[in-house]
Amino acid sequence: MDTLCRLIQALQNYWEEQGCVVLPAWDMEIGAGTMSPYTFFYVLKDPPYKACYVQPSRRPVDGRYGENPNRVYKHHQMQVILKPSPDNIQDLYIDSLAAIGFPTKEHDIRFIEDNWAAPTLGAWGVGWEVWLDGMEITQFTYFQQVGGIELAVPAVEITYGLERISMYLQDKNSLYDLQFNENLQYQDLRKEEEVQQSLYCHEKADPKRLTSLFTLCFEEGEMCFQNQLIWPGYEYALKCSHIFNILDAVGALSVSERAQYLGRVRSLARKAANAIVATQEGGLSNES
Amino acid sequence: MNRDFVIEIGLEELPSAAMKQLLEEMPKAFCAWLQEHSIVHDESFFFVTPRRMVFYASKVEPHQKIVPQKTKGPPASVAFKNQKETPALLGFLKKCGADTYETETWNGQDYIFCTVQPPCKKIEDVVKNHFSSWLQAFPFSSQMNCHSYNFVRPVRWICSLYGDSILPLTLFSVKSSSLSLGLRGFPAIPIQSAEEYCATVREHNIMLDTSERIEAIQTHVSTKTPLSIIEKNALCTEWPIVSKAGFSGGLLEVPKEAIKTMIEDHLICFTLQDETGALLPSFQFVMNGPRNEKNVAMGYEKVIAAKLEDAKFFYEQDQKVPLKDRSDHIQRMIFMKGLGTVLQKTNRLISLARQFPCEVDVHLLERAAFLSKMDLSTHMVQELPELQGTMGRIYGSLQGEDQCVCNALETYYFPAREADPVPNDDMGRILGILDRIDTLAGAFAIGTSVTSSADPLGLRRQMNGLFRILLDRPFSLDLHEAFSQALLCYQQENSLEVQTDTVLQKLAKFYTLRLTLFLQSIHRYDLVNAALCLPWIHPFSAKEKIVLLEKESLNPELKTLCESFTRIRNITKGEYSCTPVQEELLAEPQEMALYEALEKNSSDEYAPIESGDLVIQLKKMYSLNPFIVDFFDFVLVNCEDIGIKDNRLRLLSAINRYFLRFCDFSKIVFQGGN
Repeated sequence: MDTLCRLIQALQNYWEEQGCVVLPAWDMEIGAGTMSPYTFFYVLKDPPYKACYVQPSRRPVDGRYGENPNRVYKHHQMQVILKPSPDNIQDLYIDSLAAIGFPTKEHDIRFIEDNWAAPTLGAWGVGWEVWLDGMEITQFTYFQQVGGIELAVPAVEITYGLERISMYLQDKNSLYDLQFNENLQYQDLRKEEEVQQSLYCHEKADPKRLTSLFTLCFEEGEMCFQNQLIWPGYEYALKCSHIFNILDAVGALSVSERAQYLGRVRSLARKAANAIVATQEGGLSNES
Repeated sequence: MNRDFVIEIGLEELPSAAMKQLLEEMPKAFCAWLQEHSIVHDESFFFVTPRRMVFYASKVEPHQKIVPQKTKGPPASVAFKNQKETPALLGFLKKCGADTYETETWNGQDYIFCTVQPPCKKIEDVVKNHFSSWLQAFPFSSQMNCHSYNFVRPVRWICSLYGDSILPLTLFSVKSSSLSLGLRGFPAIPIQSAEEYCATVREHNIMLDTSERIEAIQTHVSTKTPLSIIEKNALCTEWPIVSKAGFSGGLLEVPKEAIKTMIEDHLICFTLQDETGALLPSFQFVMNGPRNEKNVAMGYEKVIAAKLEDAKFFYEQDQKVPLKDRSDHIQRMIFMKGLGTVLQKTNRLISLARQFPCEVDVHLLERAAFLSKMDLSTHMVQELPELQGTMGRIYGSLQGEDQCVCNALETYYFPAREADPVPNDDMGRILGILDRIDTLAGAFAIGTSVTSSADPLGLRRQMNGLFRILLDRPFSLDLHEAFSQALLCYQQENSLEVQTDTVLQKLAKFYTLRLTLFLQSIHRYDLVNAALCLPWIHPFSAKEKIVLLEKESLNPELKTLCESFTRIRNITKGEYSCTPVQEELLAEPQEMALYEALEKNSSDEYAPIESGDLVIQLKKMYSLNPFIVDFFDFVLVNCEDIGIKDNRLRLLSAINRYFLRFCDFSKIVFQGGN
């Protein structure tokens, strides 16, 4: 697995063989693979579901001006969702590691208790962070609740941190030195973006304008839900979430303000979850 | 022949809290289960590793051993007619499944008895029918929805044997076999017999006994290593192997506290120190089973280097802006919704510090208050919030702040948790008191309420911290005054509109409730109730009184005093008049005497007794005992002359008000009734 491209291909191939539909990333600013409607909505719907996709994930507070070798404004997650979870899911996961070059016998792979919660999504789950030789490379979660709704059939979510895994595979100390392919390095494609995004999020972002932008998006989202427009409504929740993250990064929020903003994002997400559960009419099947 | 039995339940990795609970409760519960089902055995064991629970019993008899029970049948007179067995007797025997019987006298009459042997089932059947339901009902501290069932974690395999045959068992549709699983990546382990189970899994690198795993780590790490980190490792490995790796010496520039937090708390590895206690650029980690040690070490080295590089970067960046120049930074941080910025909090602390009744250097105290929140804006604290205060001390020292100030910047957070010590320096104590009073006052000023289930701002913890500091070092703090000042600061600094009286009332109620619970966890509840009869009692003074009352509780004088107090309270209906006694209306010699004794005892000032020699105060109160007894023996309070009657009530009121300065004596409970 000498390039990031091939790592992604290998994981996609592996999970496609396990019956997953390989999806494109959601085309919006998103904080984590879980927030993509491809996860959020389909774990709430009844039919069995197996999917995987690479989701670029933006964390404005983690922006480091392209200077920190390990932390970035935007990283990439390989998200795998299986519902219901197969009984041998841990073995399947371990095999996926072998498929990308980590034979279990050679490495110390440990499942360390780490119950995951995403308050913005009203979601939580039981699970582990997976340590590979001390390095946290995957979040492994059995969803118990999403959008404040208890899941009758818990889905399993496996989230691989692609840059981190690649750094280990390519033996690089900085993610900017990673080979995307033979010719291009991570820094060639992403460094400039990182510098500018960091500068924006930490210094130049205008809290006042962003605050009104947040309010506008929130209200637009509310309007959507009033009109039973669940998908657009949820997308406004995603927009709010991203604006909130920038406000947070620029240091415009206090502990309690954070709670208040999070509460508003959560209320939109809950509306979306309730609505999707209320309106679903079966359909969709990639199982058989 | 008696054989051992083993039931191994294979699971996805258990949470450590569940493992601790199992270690504590399961051995007993398992023992009780064996007994309940009359399974005769020699010894029983229970083991837990992250991936398995193991129930083991040795030398188990093949069948249950249930003691035969004697059952009473019909009276002999009914059982036989003409010396022949009657249908009643035959029916009874049939019901009991018995052929023989005996006659015994019971209550003076002869009855038929027969000995019934309840069926003793085979051990296989007992396990099959009763084990799973019992285990499912175990009250695990955490459970999850595993799709078709709820359990601590999903069950993945069961290996169960009695001797060399499989014990058939089904748990959530997982069926038992004679196969166990070893470490991940290693093949399944066939188990020949229950007796060989422990040795066989051991050959495959499964160390069943948790204390053995702890020891295996302990023997390879320094004796100074905190046990908690060793335990954490023992609870997430099945075959711990301690190994060593390093990092670049240049990274030791990062403060020791940050390095320790990252290596020990975040990565559950072990830091290494030289003889002087200085950190070495190396550390130990634990592997789960034999792996490629070079690979694993390389992984850990990468992780730790990355984390320490990060910390070093933060450390360097943070020093570019000294603490004292960070007002702008904390101005952008909100302290609490509705209560302004962290900078405003700092300003309030400074004004409170100026007014604090204490002999520490007020300029230094103000300096400490000024700097107290600055480190919250540093990268290091934002990354490692557990280092708040610690980084204040470290950066403060580097930037030439006074050493007292630097220490206080760290210690004023103590005690953050119940187990923590209180600050050991006055500066830290005072800052800690002011910080907590400010937070509590502010939270109540904006109407925050604390319920038994909801305390989002941790106000109970703040209040308890305040008590602990004041118990350790009382200063001469008037708490009513201190909270009033704190509220005033919010009005001045934040232009917050505060309904001072209402807020103070609510605060006083919360204060007394928390102090009551706090002291009752240590002292007699009735004495605590007695001592906390007024609002804003200083914890130290309350404690002193309680301790004294504990010592006095067998003294008859105290009991007499309490009886008088209660009697007066009943006569006055608890409404103590404040009108002075009119001497000219005192008619009887006993009331004159009582009045004079009271006048002699009590100074004019009717302030609560908060200091001074409590023993002397209490003795002085005892000295009124004979006068009060005389008074009640000879004087009629409710006499016809209203003027005289009111005057007597005023006298009694004065006495109870005087007593109340010490405590509410009616709350004290005497054994055998008051």
